[in-house]
Amino acid sequence: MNEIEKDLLISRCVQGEACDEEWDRLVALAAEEPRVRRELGRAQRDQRSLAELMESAGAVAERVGLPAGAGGEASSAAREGAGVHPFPRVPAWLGWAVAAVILLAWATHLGPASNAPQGGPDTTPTTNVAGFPTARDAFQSYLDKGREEGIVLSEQPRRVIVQTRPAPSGEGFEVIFVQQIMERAVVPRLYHYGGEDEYGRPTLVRWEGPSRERM
Amino acid sequence: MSGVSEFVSDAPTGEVLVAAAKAGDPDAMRALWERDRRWIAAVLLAHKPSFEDLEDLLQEVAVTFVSRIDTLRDESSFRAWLRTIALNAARAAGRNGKYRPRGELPPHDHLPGRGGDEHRLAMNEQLGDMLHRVAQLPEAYREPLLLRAMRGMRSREIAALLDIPPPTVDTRIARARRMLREGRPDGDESADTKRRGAGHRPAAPPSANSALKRATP
Repeated sequence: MNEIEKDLLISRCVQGEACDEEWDRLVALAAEEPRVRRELGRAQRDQRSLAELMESAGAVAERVGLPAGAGGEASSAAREGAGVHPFPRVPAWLGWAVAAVILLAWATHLGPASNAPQGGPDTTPTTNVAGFPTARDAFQSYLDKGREEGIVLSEQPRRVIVQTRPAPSGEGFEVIFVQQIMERAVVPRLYHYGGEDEYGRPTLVRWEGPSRERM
Repeated sequence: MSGVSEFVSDAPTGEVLVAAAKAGDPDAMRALWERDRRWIAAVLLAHKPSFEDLEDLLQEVAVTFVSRIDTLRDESSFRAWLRTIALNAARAAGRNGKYRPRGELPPHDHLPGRGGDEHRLAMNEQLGDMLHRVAQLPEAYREPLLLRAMRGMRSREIAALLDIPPPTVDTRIARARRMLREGRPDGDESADTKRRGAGHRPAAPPSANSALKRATP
């Protein structure tokens, strides 16, 4: 494996795009060349900083709207307040789709989120996991039960590494990663992110819905 | 965001929306802007690595977008057109002398931060350091790297935006990452340089961080 191939492999791993086989190759490579492990660690730290940097840039971008009167927040808010439907010249479903973000608002009586703690750490339920010896067992039980009920579709093999650092005990490494579960839900209503109100709070607009084929 | 899940659409109908925006539909303009403004920020930052000017430049791009959208000929080239507006804004700002010379980044108090002042300062310093290191990269490498670091941007989309093949995007990002690693304060620069042989130029000169420290209160 030449240098650029190694760089590409490291790059894919830190971007969270590497498949299991690529991770295996990287592990094998790191066993042969300790330098690779060091480079992976540096690349992960850089990736974290880059992601933070671009989140900050994105936050700046999201503060910038169009000039008022040209699609800016002020004019749109005024139209919506007056009961004028947005996207008057294009089909309603199209506007919703191109808005890029669709928020799925859960009815309070539906879905696992409705049972999630709402009031802070002191309200965390403990009875549901009391029967499991470890968190991993509880998690596996959730996957099994979710599959059985059709809520969990799959567990993604790709784990996105956020940070690695020497373990506090001094032995081994602490790896912080995001584990991804693909779920499905059936909900009675969809809501679209409709911008912000005059207080800067996000507003949700109910989506009346296109035909099933268009989804 | 308890109780709310987020789903992202691929927005296959962008050309129709662009056509509506060309015809003067303000809501179509707004939808396009809200869809694309994050990556525009990445393009601006790649060509003018300064947080201080980012918001002004974004506003400049927004105004040009609204005032010139009717001149766009081909709806399918909307993103390339928007990128050109961003490039022109960044380059014009550089020509007008707003651009701070490398190594003299402004204080980063305006960056969003979490936690208390100490955390915020540490975070700002970290982000400022990263931005400084990115600024040392060749221009052709900066843009794909920052676009890729922007949430939601994949190689395929970056390739379409930059009009280069996806493998070229991946190669540039991988090389940019290597240059960043070798430019780290703790980077094993000499060893890496020796290993890679003559002709390789480290990404950041040794003076870069000391200059940044001078500029950071």
